[in-house]
This record gives sequence, C-alpha cells and structure tokens, in this order.
Amino acid sequence: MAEWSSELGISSPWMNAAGFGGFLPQHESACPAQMGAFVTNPVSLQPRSPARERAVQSFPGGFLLHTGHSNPGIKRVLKEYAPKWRTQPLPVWVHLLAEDAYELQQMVRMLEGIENVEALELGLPPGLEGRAQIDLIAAARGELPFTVCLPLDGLNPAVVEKLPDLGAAGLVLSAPHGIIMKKGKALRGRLYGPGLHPQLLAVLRGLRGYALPVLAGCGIYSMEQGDAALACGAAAVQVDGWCWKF
Amino acid sequence: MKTHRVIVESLEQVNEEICLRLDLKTLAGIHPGQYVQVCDPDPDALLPVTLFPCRMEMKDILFCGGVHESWLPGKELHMRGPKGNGFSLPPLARRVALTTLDLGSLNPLLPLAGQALELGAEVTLLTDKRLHDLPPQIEVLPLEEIDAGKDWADYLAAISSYEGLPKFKKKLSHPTRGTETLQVEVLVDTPMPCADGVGCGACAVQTRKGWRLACKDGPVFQLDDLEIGEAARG
Repeated sequence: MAEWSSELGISSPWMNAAGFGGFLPQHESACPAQMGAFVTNPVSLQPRSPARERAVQSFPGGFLLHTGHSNPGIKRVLKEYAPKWRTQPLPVWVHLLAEDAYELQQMVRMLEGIENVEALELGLPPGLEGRAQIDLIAAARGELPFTVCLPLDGLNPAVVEKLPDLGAAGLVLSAPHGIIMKKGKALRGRLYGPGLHPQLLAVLRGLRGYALPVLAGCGIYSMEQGDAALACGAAAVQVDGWCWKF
Repeated sequence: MKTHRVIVESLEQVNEEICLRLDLKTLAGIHPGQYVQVCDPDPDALLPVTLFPCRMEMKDILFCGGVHESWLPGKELHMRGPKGNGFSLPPLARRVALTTLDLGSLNPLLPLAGQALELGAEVTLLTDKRLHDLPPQIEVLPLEEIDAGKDWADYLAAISSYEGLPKFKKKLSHPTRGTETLQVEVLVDTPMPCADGVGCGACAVQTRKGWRLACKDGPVFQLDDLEIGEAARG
C-alpha cells in the first residue's frame, strides 16, 4: 500500500469521493480518517444544470442518488477555488466530466500549472462504451497524473486492460448504477452505502495483480471497511456518503 | 457549522404526524421555515434528516419532518442548524392564508401562524383535512375556497414538494383581485441530503435568477421567483 500511496502522491490512503466534499474541504464529518487528498466535486467545461430526474431514495443498506452533477463550469470553478486550493494542506484532485475528447483536453490544459492540483480524476459520461471510452481516456493524457473512474457495474475488461497504456495512474472503482421503483416510477441513479462493501471487495480481489493502483471509491462506511478494502488490494479508499454524516 | 449533541426528550403527535421534542440548550433562534439537519449516530442511518420547527415556545421547540420510528426518548442525535432562509412574514400583514393544498404536512406552517397571530393578524388555513391540533384562532376553510382565500389574504404561505410546484403555481398565482399584489411564499419540501458547502445539487430549484439550492438559498422561495416548467419532475 505504501508503495502505491507514494505513487499516487498521497500521505494517507483515505480521501473523499467526488461529489461528496464540495470544491473545498470545509466541513467535519463522522469519518475520523486522516485524509491524504481532497477530490473536488465533478466539474465540466461548460456550466451544467441539475438533472431533470433528480432523486434521493434510501433502501436497506444504502441509498440511490441522482443529481446530474450540476456545476458552474471550469472557468468559474477555477476563478473561485484555484486561489483557495493553493493554500490547502491536502493535495487537490480535480474530478472532470467531459462529453468528448476536445472538452477533456481543454480542461486538462487549464488545470496544468495550478498550484496544489496534483492529479485529475476522470468520470466517463453514461452511455459511452468500449472504443469511445478508450478514446476519451486517451485525451486525459497531459502533465498531470490522472485516474479513471469506472463503476462497479461497468468494468469493461477491454478498457481496464488498456488503462496503463493510455497513461492512467490509477483506476477508481466508483458507485454502481441502480433503479428503485417508487409509486410506479423508476428512479435511476448511483447506489451508495455499506451494502456495496462485499461487492467492492470481490471486485478488488479480482483485480489483484493489476498493473495500476486501484482505489476503492464506494462502499466504505467505517474504518474497518476501509481497512478491509486496503487489505484486499486497494491502494486507497474514497469515502462517499459517510462524508455527509456528522 | 457546529454539531450539537441533542437528546430526544419526548414525542408528540401533532395533526397525525409524530413530532420530536429535543433537549435544546444551545440552538440559536430558529425562524419559521428554517430547518435543522439531524444525523442518527447509528451506522445503519446513512443520510442526515431535515426537521422543521412546528411549535416554538421559547427553548421548547417541537420538530416535524423526517422523524424516524426508532427515535425514542433518550436517543442521542447530532444536530446542525438552524439553516436556510425561512418565511418572511410582512410586519404589516393582517390577513394571512396558509395551505399545502393537502399534498403534505402543514405542521411547518404552524410557527408562522403563531407569529402572525402574535402580530395581530387573522390567519386562515385552507385544507379539507380534519385537523385537531390548531390554535383556536385559526379559521379553517375548505380548499374549494382557495380563490376566496387569495382575494382575502395579503400574504399567503404554502408548502409544496418540488414535483408539486406546477399545481401550486396554477392554483396560487394570478390573484383574482385587481391590481393588488398577493405575496406568496412557498417552502419547497425536497430532500437536502448533503453536508455544509458540498452543493450536491439534489435540492436544486429553478428560479428566475437561475438554479438555486433549497438547502442554502431556500427552502422558502417567493412563488413568483420559481420557474417550474422544465424543472418539475413527475
């Protein structure tokens, strides 16, 4: 783990998951772990509106969340937060949402040279498959190391195999997708919660020996669960909904 | 924002909703329509819950909202707040109308009713429900009197889910009386799950000034400021 941590440039294997910490670390949560990096909310090239079908719905062992990752666009984010990131004690990882390679390259260039932005995290748009995923990931290559988020339910072996050659510095196992029926209506979103933990560990085990650091990006709701993920081969763990408890 | 450890003192049923009395020593003044976020330290409770005051007498505050069935007297909870922007009752309002169009609990409106009564205003509640826990000074009218209520009132406060806003806009906008303006405020009742400053966007509300977050900019908005066309789900 120490070897991977050093490769990722973090002093502790704990960090928050994108979308659960805002653009600045500024609140105390129930998670007592010392963080090794701060991952920003997802940011896109252009301002992004909330999803029309937003949803928050609990289920036993977790909750479904769909927000659409609304954000004011990278220019406004940088204007407001880049000066504050510089003074943060934690390295900042900026989570990027891009629809195509052109958008991604623009954002990557804008972030290069921003003090204390130590890495990028790439979220792939829904519906992007195989070759298109690979093309987008290839566009993230630049001066900053980058990790790629793939949901537990969307690990395409062809893409996972190619990540090292595409220049990725790590693979983040992010929250899977799900549907909850409520009053006859299908609520769609990502699933979060400790109920995902066994599934996460199984995927981590399956990736043992993989050429890149793997970050456990979901299913961590206690120190024990984080330690278990690290013991199963995770290079780091990212805390999602646990960040919101106080 | 500071976290307060509070104890559930007692439970009370108010208008068929279980409400919570917390042992509060440190809560700063909370206004009608503002809210507190409460976390259950139990690891199985994953998301913070939003509670609104429904009865306020000095430090004795009764909260309604997402009260969990496992929260019994003696239970410790973690609380942050008060948060958000509440109702702005005009000091000169003399005729105050309240409604939820019977689409949800009206208990968060009760402190506003109390405030209006203290200021000497008349208060009318528009509902078809039979409610037993209302101050006797409140007049109750059926929902079919909504237009008459709008004609009569100089301030109207409502609670609506985000999905319900189109119905509210249709029913409560366009006052039927001449040129006088009826000020209508709506508490948008929507999930507000995230922590301070995160801005997860789950509670986003479309307004004339762009997207706003109910957790920070609301949850009370002027009805006229709300844009509901595209945004309303369902």
